[in-house]
Amino acid sequence: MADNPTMAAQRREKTGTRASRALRRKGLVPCVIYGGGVEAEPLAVSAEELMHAIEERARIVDVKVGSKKRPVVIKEVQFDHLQSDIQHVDFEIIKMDEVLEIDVPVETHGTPKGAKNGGMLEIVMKHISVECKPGDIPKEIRIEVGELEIGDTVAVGEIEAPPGVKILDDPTISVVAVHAPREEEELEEAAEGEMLEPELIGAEPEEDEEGEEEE
Amino acid sequence: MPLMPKRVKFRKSQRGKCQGKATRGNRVSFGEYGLQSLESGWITARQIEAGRVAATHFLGREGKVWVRIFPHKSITKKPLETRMGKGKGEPDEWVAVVKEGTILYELAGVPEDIARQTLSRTAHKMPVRVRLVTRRHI
Repeated sequence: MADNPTMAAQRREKTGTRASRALRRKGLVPCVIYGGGVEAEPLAVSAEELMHAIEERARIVDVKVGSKKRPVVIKEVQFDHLQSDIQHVDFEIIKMDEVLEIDVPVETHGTPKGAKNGGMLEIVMKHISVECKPGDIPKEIRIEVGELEIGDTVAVGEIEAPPGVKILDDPTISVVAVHAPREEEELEEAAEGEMLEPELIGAEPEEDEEGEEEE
Repeated sequence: MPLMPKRVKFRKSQRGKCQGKATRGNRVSFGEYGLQSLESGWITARQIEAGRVAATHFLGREGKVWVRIFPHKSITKKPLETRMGKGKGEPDEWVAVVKEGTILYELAGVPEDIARQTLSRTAHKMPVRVRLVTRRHI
């Protein structure tokens, strides 16, 4: 718990679009805190601190409102249309001794042997669902791919979960795979050609074509 | 051959407007890196194809490229030296309507420096301002 970043939050007196936009102009992000049997409360946190925490892949943060500090999980983050600025965040209050379900990103380590022979490493599952206590949430699930040859895969069941973490996904699903290199014809499939007309839905077939075929 | 729909309900469409911001198709969903549009506009099937070819030729047999846009809209054109009137022209090309924030291409399986060089080549084929974005792990 000591590792969790702390964020100072302030209560929002006004809610709604205008008030939220005014907050964003000041470098704050409107957020809401709920769960733990308490009523949802609109808050605002520093955009810079929040972005830093997200970039550090922190999932649990301590939100400090006045003198009260509560551990929360970052439940949802809304970005703007360019995915660069945070618009709104949902925080859910958690108990540090309670088990929770969370998605953890997959991170590969090493260069597959197959990749050196022209193969391509594909990360099929970008996230893995895990169940653990908030203090045990890993920043990532690390998979060693150095020994993989072309055609090899790593299934969920083959991943060694960090201590205190239980993987919830189907153990038979592939997480990473090394594929054979692409075929040349795939690269060159696009030859310049005349622009053809697409088929019209609901149009009757042309009689001329049939006539020509008969001849 | 450039992309175009296999079947359409109507051959010709009105020109429309490219207003607003992308509310979907604006996240890197398949690959690790993406090329994001910073403007609204039309991207023709030929331009989409040129961008794809630029990327795949630079990558050779490495990596994987996803094209996230498709030209659904037909654009008509009147023949040269034709007087106005006599109805709408014939379909000439197909375009994808792109809004600010749309991810145009995605890339995976290569290191960041290669991805930057690849998408920079693709960016030169685009008629809109673009930037490189990376996947968010949240």
